[in-house]
Amino acid sequence: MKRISRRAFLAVGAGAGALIAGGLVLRGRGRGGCAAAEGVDAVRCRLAAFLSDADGVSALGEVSRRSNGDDVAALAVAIAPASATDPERWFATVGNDGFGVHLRARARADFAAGEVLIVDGWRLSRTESQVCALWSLVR
Amino acid sequence: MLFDTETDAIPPELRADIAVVGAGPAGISLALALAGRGLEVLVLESGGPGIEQQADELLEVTVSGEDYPASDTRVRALGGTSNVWGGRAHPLDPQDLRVRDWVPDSGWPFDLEELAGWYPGAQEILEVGPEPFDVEHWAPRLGRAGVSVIETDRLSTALYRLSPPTNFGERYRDELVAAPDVAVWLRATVVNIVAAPDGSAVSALEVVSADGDRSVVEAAVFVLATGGLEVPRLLLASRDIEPAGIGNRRDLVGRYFMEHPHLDVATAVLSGSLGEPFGEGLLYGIGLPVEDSVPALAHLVLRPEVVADEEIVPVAVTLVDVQQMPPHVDAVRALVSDIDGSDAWVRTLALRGEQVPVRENRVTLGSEVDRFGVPRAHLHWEVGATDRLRYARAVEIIADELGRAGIGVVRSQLSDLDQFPTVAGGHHHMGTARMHEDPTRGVVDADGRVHGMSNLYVAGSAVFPTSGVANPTLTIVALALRLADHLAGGSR
Repeated sequence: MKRISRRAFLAVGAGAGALIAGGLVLRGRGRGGCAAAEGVDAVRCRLAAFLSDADGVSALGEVSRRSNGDDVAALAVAIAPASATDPERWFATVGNDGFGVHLRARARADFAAGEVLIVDGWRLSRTESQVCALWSLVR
Repeated sequence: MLFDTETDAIPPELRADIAVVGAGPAGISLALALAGRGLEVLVLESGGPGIEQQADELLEVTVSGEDYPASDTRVRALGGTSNVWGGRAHPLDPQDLRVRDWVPDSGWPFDLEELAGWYPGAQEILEVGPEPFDVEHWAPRLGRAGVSVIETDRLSTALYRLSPPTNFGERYRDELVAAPDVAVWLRATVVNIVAAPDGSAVSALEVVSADGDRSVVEAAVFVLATGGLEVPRLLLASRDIEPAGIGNRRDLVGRYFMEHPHLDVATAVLSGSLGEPFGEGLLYGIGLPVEDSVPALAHLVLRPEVVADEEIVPVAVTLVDVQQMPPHVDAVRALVSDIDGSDAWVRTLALRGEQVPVRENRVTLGSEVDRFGVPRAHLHWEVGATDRLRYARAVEIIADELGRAGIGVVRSQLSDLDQFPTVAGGHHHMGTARMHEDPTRGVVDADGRVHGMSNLYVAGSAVFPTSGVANPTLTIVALALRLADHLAGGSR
């Protein structure tokens, strides 16, 4: 069972939202500097560092949410590896290369298992779809 | 010997052992394969030595159903449609000839092994080299060229060989001239097949020359090698003895017309990490020059067991330059690039599929006549819901298999049957004189002989009961060589 506090996620998320409103450019943190982030901020940091087309993936995520829902915590848990006892820490520490390796393996496994979601016509793995949805919620 | 009615007066009567109508790939292959075997062969070609508008006007056809330019890609000339042939060559696959419960009216009267003996000769005639087609055979050379191919549990790669392409009129003209027992008459248009009074045989052909002179051709055996539209037209138009047309007592002549529907089916965002398959040596969609200068063209295909398990039809997919940017393509490309760690490619998946034989897709006689008074053909061709659903399912399988293999992400354009993309043909006209041992189910028997007619044969793709997905020319030539052996043996 993954350990994640939904309440903590949402609490930290509210603060992070204020930071974004204040003009913080998360991608400016660089591709690996998320270790100090916590809760949803860790998720946001990781995705911001990882995704090269923030606006485009967010727009895709808006569509993807129809299938994946709007639950940030649930999406983060779903994306993190089952072995991650603390998913938010995993997002903070995995690094971009590790995140890519993880997503690549998960996407392939999803396709093999028939876990395919149609997102505006694109046949995405469930994990890819979830990444888009999550980013559209936390950016 | 080569004659031209424009310069040589055609005799009012001609005789031969075997009269072949049409000097395209089937007719020329047949004639040359019969040369030197003790038979006088007469080839009657409606066109001249090259493409001429006057000859091509004779084959204009009206069309209903799909928007289909059936008049534009056939040629009446020495060499026939090989004058405009693209040159792709691949044999049929074994499953193409089998009875498939989910494909009505499927099943050839023999299996692929029957054709195996004639494919090598066909390869030689089409100048595609003697080597086999299987990917395993080519893998070492592909590897040395820095090119890999996609092979997964459900997908495979079919290597099509590219003929120069062989223009039969240019390539084999001298051989035809030199063949002592072969006479070719150009601008000699067959306008009627004369049946014997009891309708059991052909007694003669009526021929019109360039300047309107009439001639009668008598032979022991007659072979129609005029393509999938003109074969049924001539049979249906020859109604002196048989009111419904020759060979048409069971209303099968002209029916079951098949094409290879071509359509752009999807956009694919493909992993850049794969390198050469999608890089400078782009294999799927562009000819690949390999060591011995025999070009090849790779197609993604579904493995036969997948086609059977899913009860769909074979398809072949090439990757071509992107034709239309769908929504979110930049985002998906970025996402795939981020996940994969390399810049992804965007390509259009261009599909060619087998079409299920359908009775209502057919050639009939139209209301117009050509300048010799022969009714023009009318073609009704549709790509039905069964075909469309099967292509859509094939694309889903390909998409998910590419995803499973980490090769790419796909957006299908076939998800909505009401928004189906435009379907084009491959200029492959097949099935209108289908082969079946049962005369209630086929126009010709396993030898290509018209049921009920002792001496009339059909050569070419008109006899295909089903088409597979391979371009038909190689099989057309193989069947012509097989027919030559049958006729030579039977005439001895």
